[in-house]
Parts: sequence; C-alpha cells; structure tokens
Amino acid sequence: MTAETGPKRGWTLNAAAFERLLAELDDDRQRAAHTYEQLRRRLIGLLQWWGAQPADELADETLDRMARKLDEGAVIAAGSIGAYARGVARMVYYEWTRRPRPEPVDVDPPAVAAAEPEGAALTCFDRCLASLDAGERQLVLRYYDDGKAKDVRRRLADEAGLSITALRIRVHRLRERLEQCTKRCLESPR
Amino acid sequence: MKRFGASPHPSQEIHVTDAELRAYLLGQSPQADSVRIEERLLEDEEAFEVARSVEDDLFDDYARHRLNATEREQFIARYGAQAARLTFASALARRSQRPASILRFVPRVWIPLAAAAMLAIAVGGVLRSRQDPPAVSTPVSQAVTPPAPMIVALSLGTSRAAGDITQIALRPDVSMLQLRVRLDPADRYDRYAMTLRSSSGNVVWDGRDLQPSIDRGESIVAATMAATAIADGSYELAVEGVNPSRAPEALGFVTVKVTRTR
Repeated sequence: MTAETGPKRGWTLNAAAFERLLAELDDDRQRAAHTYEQLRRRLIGLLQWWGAQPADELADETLDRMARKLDEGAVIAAGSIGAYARGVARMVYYEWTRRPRPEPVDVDPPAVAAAEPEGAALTCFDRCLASLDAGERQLVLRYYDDGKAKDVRRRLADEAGLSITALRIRVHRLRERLEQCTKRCLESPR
Repeated sequence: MKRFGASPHPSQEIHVTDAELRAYLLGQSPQADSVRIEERLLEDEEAFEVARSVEDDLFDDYARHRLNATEREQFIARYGAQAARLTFASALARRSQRPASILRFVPRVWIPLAAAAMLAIAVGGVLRSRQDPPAVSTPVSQAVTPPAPMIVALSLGTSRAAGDITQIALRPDVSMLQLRVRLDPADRYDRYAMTLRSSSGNVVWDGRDLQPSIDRGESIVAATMAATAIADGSYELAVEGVNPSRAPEALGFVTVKVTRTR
C-alpha cells in the first residue's frame, strides 16, 4: 500500500471520485453511504486518540485523499481498507503536526480539577438520566454500579438477552447520549 | 461482494483483547501493537465500539480513583483536557455508586430494615439518588433483617512501620466488613475521605464526604464494604481530613492483611 504523501494542489473532491470510494466500501450504494459515515466516525476517533484537532476536518481530508487516489487508479488490496485508511490518516496527521498553530492561551487546568462534579453538572446529569426510559436508566446505573465485576455484567447481559459485546455497545451508546445531553445542558444559558 | 466494515469471518478475525485496548488507550502499547490495533479498529465497527466501551471504563476508573499512579498520569496526559467527559464520568460514578455504609451507630446489633430504610448514609460515602425507587424505599411489610457487618477497630499510624499490620480473619459467613478508624481528637474536619488500596496500588474501596460519629466517647469514621470485594492480601487504608476551602490533608494510614478463614 502506498499512502498519500501530501495534498495535491488544485485537486478537489469530485462526484466520480466520491462514487469510486463508495464502491470500494460496498457494492450496494445505500449501504456504502452508511459504511462511509461509520468509517468517518472511526477516523475521527483515531485522530482524537492521536491528539489531532479538529479531528472531524482531518477525517474528511483523509477520506478525500483516499477518494482521490482511487480516482487516480490506486488499487486497495482486498481486506486492506482499514490499513490503507490508517496510512492516509497518518500522513494527514503528520502534516497537521507541522502546520503552524496559535500559541496556547495560558489557562488554569480545569479538566483535571474537575474530579468532583459540581451542583450544576449533577443537576444536568440527573435531568438527562430522567429523560431515559426506566429500563435504559436501570441498565446504565447497574452496569456502572460500584465497579465492573464480570459476573454483574454477565448477569445484565443474560437478563437483556444480549451477548456481553452487544451489552457493552448498547451501554456505550446510552452513555454517549447522556454525555451529549449533559454537555448541552451545561452549555445552555441559565 | 464488497462489504467493508462488517465484522469479518471468525477465521479471519484479528482479536484485540480488552487489556490490549486499555494499554493502547493509555499510550502503553508498543508501536507494532498500536498499528495492528488501529488497523483493526478502522476495519471493524464492532471492534471500534468495544474500544469506546473500554475507554468509558477508563473514565469510570479515573472518576472512582481506581487507576494506579502510572495509569493516572497516562490517563491525564491523554484525556486531561476533556473537561466535559471527566465531569460526566464523575457524575455517573456518583449516581451509580452503592451507599458506602449505614449511619446508625447501634454497634453490633441487628437493625430492622424498617429502621434501616429510614437511615441516611452518614459515615458512608455517597447518597444514591436514582429516579427509580432505591432499596431504602422497600415497604416495611417486606422487611428482611440484614446481617451486622464484621467490625474491625483501627488506629492510624503516620509511618509505614513493618510491624504495624492489623490482621483481619474474614469468616465465610461475613458479608459486610466495616473498618472503623479512631480519630485523633486534635484532627477536626468537616468531612473525611478514606481509600483502601491493594498492594498493587489498585483502589478497591473509596469513600468521599464521610462524616465522623461518636462511639463510646471516641470520634470515629467508618468504611463499610462488601466482603466479597476484598480478596486475601495486604491493603493500605488511607484517611484524609477535608475542609471546604483547603486541599485534603493526609491524617495517616494503616495496613491490614485480610485472610479468609475456612
């Protein structure tokens, strides 16, 4: 696999290149569009773990370059899209690290100091928790109840008729909803 | 037929364990492992969501002070700037944690559930305020008498002298263990925090916002925990005094060695 080595000046994503990328992801175009969004989300996650910001723009840049290479005739070996995407993302990341960035503003370290949730955070959390239905609420609270004992989670999975993996994914999605809700609540004007 | 992103056939699956994901997220993985994991996570949506679940557990461990010193440092290096996620994790830990102990100091007697249901959590850590009825709202007519905890009285030390180890023999019928620490009369704080760590540094019990009580004329603070959470081994119980306007102050610690009797 030969990863992209830099932005090609004057090239912009065109419909044909985009369709070429979608076709690489799935023969069915509707499924391919869904797969594209999922891949984009995973690229955002990876770039965030690398510390790159803004991760969503860099993920878009990665996908655009993949589309361009395919449009130019590149062939991705079967089962290697993950590796190819990683290679392109890595080049995009390295370029980002070399871009001049504004000097960081000297601020207090609020995040590490946020070990104890303040009243507003708890109020927002409670409000968001109440917006879940009773079953979802119980699931999240029991899942995180005082530790992560495997037998507790196994029991939860059995009660819900899920595999452990499916349970973990379901709870992660509920947690994401709660997190986004709490964040919106805290950011909304009082 | 092309179908990228769906889980591969089990015969082709490259398995990534939770331990590997945790190490990767903390930045502990060797480069080769990181590349393998990242390619796998980009290839497979389910694997990626499991990684996110492992990441959630890391945030939970951080919020509950369960990371050891190295892990904590690595966690802060990666996630320390994500204030919203940290605050959320703390809120979720607060709301999902079981009450740490029972208030009423009627030492070593049976407490009818009707009375227990009325108790606030005094020396114990955190009130659990769930939307659905918690255990304290169980109707009296269904009262079941809980067993009294095994109580161990401790005194704090200020040096890690080798001989100062309290031996605790846990009987098989003990379901709850209460570590009751006698406080120095000179140490007067609004609240106390207690942390029980294993010999490997993992936090097995943590209580914040604990309030002292008087037992036979002595000021004490207590940590009550499920006996099943305490495996055989040595532990260090650290106690801090907390006043609102100041940083917590270490008051001392005591080493206990737990052995389960047959």
